[in-house]
Amino acid sequence: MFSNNGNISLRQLLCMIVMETFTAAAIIIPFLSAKKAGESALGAVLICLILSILLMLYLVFISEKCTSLKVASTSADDYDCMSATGIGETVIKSLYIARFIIRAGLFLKILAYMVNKTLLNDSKDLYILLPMAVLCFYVALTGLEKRGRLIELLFWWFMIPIAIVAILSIKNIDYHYVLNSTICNNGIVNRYSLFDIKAFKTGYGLLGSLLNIEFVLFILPHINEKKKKTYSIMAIVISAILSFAMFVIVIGNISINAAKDSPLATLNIMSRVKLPFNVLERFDICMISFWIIGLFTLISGYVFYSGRILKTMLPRFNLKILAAIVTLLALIVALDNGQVGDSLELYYKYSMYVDIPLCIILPLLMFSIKKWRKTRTKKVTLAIMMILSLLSLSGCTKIIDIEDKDYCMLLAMNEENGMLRIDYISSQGGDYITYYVEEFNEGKEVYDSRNEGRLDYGHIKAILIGPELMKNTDMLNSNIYQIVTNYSIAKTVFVYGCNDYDDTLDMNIGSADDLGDYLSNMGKKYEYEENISMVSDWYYNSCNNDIPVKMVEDISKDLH
Amino acid sequence: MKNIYDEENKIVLEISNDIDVNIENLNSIFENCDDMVFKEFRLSRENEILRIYIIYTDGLTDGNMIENTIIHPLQWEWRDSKLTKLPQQLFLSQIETTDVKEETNLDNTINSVLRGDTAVFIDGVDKVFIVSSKKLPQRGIDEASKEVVVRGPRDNFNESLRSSTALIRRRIKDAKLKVKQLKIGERTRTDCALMYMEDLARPELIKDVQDKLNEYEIDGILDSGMIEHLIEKKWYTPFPQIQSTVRPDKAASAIMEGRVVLVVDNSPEVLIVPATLNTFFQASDDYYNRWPVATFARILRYIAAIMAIGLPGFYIAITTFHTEVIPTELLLAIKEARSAVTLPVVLEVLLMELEFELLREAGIRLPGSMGNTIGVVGGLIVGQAAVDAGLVSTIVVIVVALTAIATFAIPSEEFVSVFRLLKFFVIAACAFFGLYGFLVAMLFVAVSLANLESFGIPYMMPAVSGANVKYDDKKDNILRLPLLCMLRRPIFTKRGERIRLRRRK
Repeated sequence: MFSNNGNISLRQLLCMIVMETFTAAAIIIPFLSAKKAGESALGAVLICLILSILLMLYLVFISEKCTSLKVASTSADDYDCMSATGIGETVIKSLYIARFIIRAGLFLKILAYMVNKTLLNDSKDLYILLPMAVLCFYVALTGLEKRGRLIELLFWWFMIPIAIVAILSIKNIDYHYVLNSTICNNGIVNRYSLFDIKAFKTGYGLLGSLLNIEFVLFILPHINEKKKKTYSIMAIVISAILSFAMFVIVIGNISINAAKDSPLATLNIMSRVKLPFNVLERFDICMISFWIIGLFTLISGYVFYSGRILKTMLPRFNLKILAAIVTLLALIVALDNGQVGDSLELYYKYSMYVDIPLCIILPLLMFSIKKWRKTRTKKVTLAIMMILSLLSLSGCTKIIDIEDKDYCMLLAMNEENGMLRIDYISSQGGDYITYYVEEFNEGKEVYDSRNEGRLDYGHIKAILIGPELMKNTDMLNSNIYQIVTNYSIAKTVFVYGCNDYDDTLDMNIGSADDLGDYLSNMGKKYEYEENISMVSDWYYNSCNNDIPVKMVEDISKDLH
Repeated sequence: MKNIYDEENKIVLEISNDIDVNIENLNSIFENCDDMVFKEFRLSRENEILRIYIIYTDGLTDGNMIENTIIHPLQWEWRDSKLTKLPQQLFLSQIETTDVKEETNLDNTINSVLRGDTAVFIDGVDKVFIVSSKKLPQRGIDEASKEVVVRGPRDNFNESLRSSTALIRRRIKDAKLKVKQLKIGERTRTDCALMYMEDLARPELIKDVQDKLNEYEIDGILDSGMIEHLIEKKWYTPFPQIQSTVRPDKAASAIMEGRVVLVVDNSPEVLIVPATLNTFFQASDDYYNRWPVATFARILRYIAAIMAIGLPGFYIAITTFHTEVIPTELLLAIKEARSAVTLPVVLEVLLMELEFELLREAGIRLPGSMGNTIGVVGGLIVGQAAVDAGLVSTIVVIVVALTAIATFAIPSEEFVSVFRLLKFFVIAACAFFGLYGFLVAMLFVAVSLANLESFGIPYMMPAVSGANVKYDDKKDNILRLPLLCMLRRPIFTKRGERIRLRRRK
């Protein structure tokens, strides 16, 4: 039958390259470029993307000359020149495997960090990664043709929602952030050079995050179309344009200063997007799912190719065992204790001195050796493993039913006797619960230990800051940092100050309207006229203490 | 004791020209078979006597036909004939009235008798005359109870192979419609018919199906479902790789698309290969209704499929892990509704889902009117009682009811069963991992679907394998464009035979 020809189509090639490259670039580049190049980030990204196109041209050229790189085929006939290898060939293949495993581990780590910070707070990385590892292992056992179909299937499910959110984020872009200029508080505009030495150096280093384009070496031999070179180049150009657009949206929304502190910068811009008709309170939670699809294709790609290359080296071993070894190694790399930001920086250095040079040298060496042999692969499905792994993880996360949570509608903070006073207003017209703590994060711990319900910040409508706390800048800043880095608090929550703290809170008692709701509605109504700040303003602005906080009394005379 | 059968369950005895030997053999073969009828006639002409022995199966044969075409002529019409010419006369004369053939193999003879034919043994003749006298008990052509349509034909297949092939032949009056008959099952020897258009079906597909059918030896085939399990490539996936239908118009349409239909005797469901995911979402009346209506119905079905598989799991994920996603007013309403419920959300959903599945199963097994009653009793009374007792909340009842309604919107029952099964997998994943689990479970389903093939055709065609799919193939996918736009047959058809509609010159 025509579908069992072991080849993939040009459309599948395009989908593979675009999806994998865009995912890697969109997640890593805004953070690393801001961190490493600072104000020259724009130049660095442009250089990186140009270099990626040049690298693709080089790899396509090599691939055309070295047509025996069919490591991913499921057809036995394609494997007659891959097995017995010399030392040189073994070394090359081993290097490919090691590099792919390192990258798979890095992206697994990013995935674990992403899920841990957003969807499954305080869960162990192993529990998060195990189902994904099983899924990647499952994909590694299928052929390239089926992997192509899978990515073709997922492509639009991934791209369309991301595109919608990106488009909705455009209105929030501040082009000063993008165009290498910052306006300081005194109104002076500082401009920075676009292409300086730092930009070139960082641009080269950033290329390390896009090395998945190496996959073309193993894909192109499986395509029997004349236009495969054109499509490869077209795919990388599309990826470059999309990645650049995403960089502009991210940096334009949150600035370079904020981006360099947040490995999840790309996700954070999505917390500002609201769907019409209030369909979902927090759309960004759903968006994370789409990024996970992108990361899945990327990680499964690395596991797939390293497993296949290993099979060519050890043709007598079962592919299942080899793929399991590769997956396990990637998992071990991902479970390293370091922070994801540090890992990315380490990877950046590793890319500059090891990975990128190897990416260029190895295909050349391979081209000269040309002694690939074919092996037979067997396709096996392990669906049952997925279910077993899920069942074995009983109790891995803290499941809390909806009625067992107390939803905080208004969060109020003030300073009293050197302590932080936190007041939680959790229901309509109800009393507020007060605790005196050292810092914001301690408040939730105290609340959870003294109350039956678990405190949930997911539905906070407004944050109120008392007059004493506003005067104590140090205490305010340290607590604000804890608020803005708490993912469960939406970035769109309005922040108010007040002159009379207790009187303002007493408004909620016996009132028909919820104070949090009232302040939220006022915020939406007068957001632009009154310049009411939101949590996102604290988060995205480089100078936190300069954010003007609007007084409740100024906004509404009716309230008092 | 005589050795009657060989290792392959075939009769090793031979037909003898001595009728006593034949009678003895038949008695041995049919020992304790009280439904077999044996009759011996002695025809005498002057001093000669000719012994004739007939055998047939009671209940499978037409008694009138035996009387009119065998017994009556032997006793009355040919009473003046010479006995030596009687066998020849019998054969020639019978051709005029009914189907008759000579058989020299005893195994084939017995098979024919067990199918309802009558065997005529004549003394001194080392062959048998098989007279076609079948009259099998069968149901009429009823109105379809499954795959019901608003517009379109109402007839459906029944358990008779010949009726089923006739219903298809009635719709395709073309000599290129081929019907290849074969027998499967060492003991049941079930008749099957492979139907396809000679010029439209891919030869490799026909060969593939035939090879698959000949791949196994099985003692019995009692329904097409058993053949389906034998010939599908991946036995471990819950997704059906072969389509089945009770509707002759659907089978005929599949044949016209270059697909192969397998009709199995004793089964009202015929099998269609290859099958792709989108074929399970197509209903017959999609092509009889106006295209915007059909397109809308198709889109609804795809949404229903997503709901059927994921709604309960999604509900668990957002109410236990990601409450921040729910709009505040709705969240407070759900919290209020759950305040009196003692069970956790996961158990609550599982309890209701299991209750629904039990009701469904009970409704199917009970006789018609009682089945309906159990649905009403279960749905209304038990549901309301569960809410009143604080076992489940009203929101969960709504979620489970919506899921159930969604499953009914998908035309293919066997496909819906998969969704009902996977729903529990998604629930488990969501209970452990929230939305992340939901996503992983969905990705797992996507990977499984991308891996599947049905007789060489990717299961997700035409959504995947873009190089092989032309724009025309997508005109009958999620959208059903006007008939005038669907000029080409789908991907199943042989190359060069894709045009199905064009304007007359």
